[in-house]
Amino acid sequence: MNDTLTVRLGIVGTGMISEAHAAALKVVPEIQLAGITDINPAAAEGFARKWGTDPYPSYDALLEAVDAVILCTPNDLHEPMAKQALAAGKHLLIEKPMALSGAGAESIRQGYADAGLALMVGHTHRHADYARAVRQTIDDGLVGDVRSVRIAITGGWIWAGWQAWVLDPTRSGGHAFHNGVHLYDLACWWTGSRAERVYAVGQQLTSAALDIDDYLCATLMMESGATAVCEISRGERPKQVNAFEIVVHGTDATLVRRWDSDGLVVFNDDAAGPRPAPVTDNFARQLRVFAAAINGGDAYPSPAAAVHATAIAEAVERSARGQRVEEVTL
Amino acid sequence: MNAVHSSAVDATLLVDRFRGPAIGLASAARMGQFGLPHAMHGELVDAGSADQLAARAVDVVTAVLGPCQGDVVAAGSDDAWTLTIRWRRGVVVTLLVGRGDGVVHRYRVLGSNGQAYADLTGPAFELVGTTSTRVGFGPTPEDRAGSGTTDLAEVERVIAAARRSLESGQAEPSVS
Repeated sequence: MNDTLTVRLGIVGTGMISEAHAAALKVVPEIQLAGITDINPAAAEGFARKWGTDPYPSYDALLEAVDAVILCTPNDLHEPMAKQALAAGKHLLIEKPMALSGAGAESIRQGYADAGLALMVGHTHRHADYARAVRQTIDDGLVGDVRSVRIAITGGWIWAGWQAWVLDPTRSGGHAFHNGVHLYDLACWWTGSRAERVYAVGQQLTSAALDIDDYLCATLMMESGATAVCEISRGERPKQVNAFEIVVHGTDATLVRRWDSDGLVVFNDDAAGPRPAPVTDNFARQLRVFAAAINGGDAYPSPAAAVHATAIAEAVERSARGQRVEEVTL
Repeated sequence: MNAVHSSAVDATLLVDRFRGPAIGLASAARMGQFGLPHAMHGELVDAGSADQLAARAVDVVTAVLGPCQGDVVAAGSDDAWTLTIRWRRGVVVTLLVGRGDGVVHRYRVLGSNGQAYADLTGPAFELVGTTSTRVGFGPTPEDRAGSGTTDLAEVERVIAAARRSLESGQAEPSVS
């Protein structure tokens, strides 16, 4: 035991991603789960029973009881609730997207920097085995200078029914904000460059009545001269097939993650296709970085990188709507 | 320096649509075995300049999806191009092509009723020893000469639009 074990952390929201954070906290003893709150009190009580913590009746009450919070609320609430946490002097791990605009994200980053509090954004892919291996391969000089990147994550599961807030662009920001930011952040990390311009194509596959794109393909044109094609889909068939492909083409070699690179492919009566291999818990890795940041270390990825990913998402949504090349402004 | 002033497409390079997996992919697409495609993505890393490689890849896509009718956005250099193409309304194509020592040549088609993955370096065995190599078998594209024709004019239209996009930095129409 040491002094770093005293961080008391609260989770805001009881959705799927909150469960992932709570499970990760079980293996990160530097941080203690000290409370949960949700707009639905019954959900908070159920979550508290499951994970052995205390339910709080409101966000304000939770903020009074903890040193840090993980914000797992719908995307449109991220910015105002982050600013509430900042005003209360609490360290913050905020789920992606940081905000629904680059300017909003930057205002959060600046506030936390001025206050000297830890701020981290849930770009969990940065902490994933595969993403670290790609970056290490590039750092080892095996690819050479990166010319182009492809990241494709495609599947067939839409976000529940019409009640799902993710389907409301005013709440989620659309697919670029909700999932795209993961890919845009990886593209910047792997190319070692910021995005300058984007060109995006969006489609409504599952239903013509969708107000967001459930298929979104964005090409990022980086300051380095490299490009990155970032493709995400929730509308593919057969719906059980989840494809995950990576290409990093460089001056010396091309790194390829194929559809069967996890090493297991299953054909049975229900479905056919690749199965994911067991991985290291990237949520636990992320929490350890957050614990270190609270104790004066660096947040990773940096808040500035997360602001840029948000600005890219903003440009991607503009490009998909306007069908033209758009500048990234932050 | 962008390869925007290179010569016209060399028709003798457009043989990849006659590789076995490309023939199968195009045939399945024409028969609607994936429903109607909404996206096709490919990578071609091989010897050659970026515009030559792009022409080869565009010819394969043309064999699968038919003629391009939409806008082209291109970015890159003499050694690598990335093309993002609204192939027709509701269908997007992206192609990553680049000069390299090894060969990567593959395509992925996403359709309303299924998906397909084609590796145009096949059919081939893996020969594993101190190094790993691929040993191809079966007819080559040259063996199939005369079994069909390429769409040179269609490919040239797309590549011309790509060259214009490299200069303008904007989406350029493939048809006037």
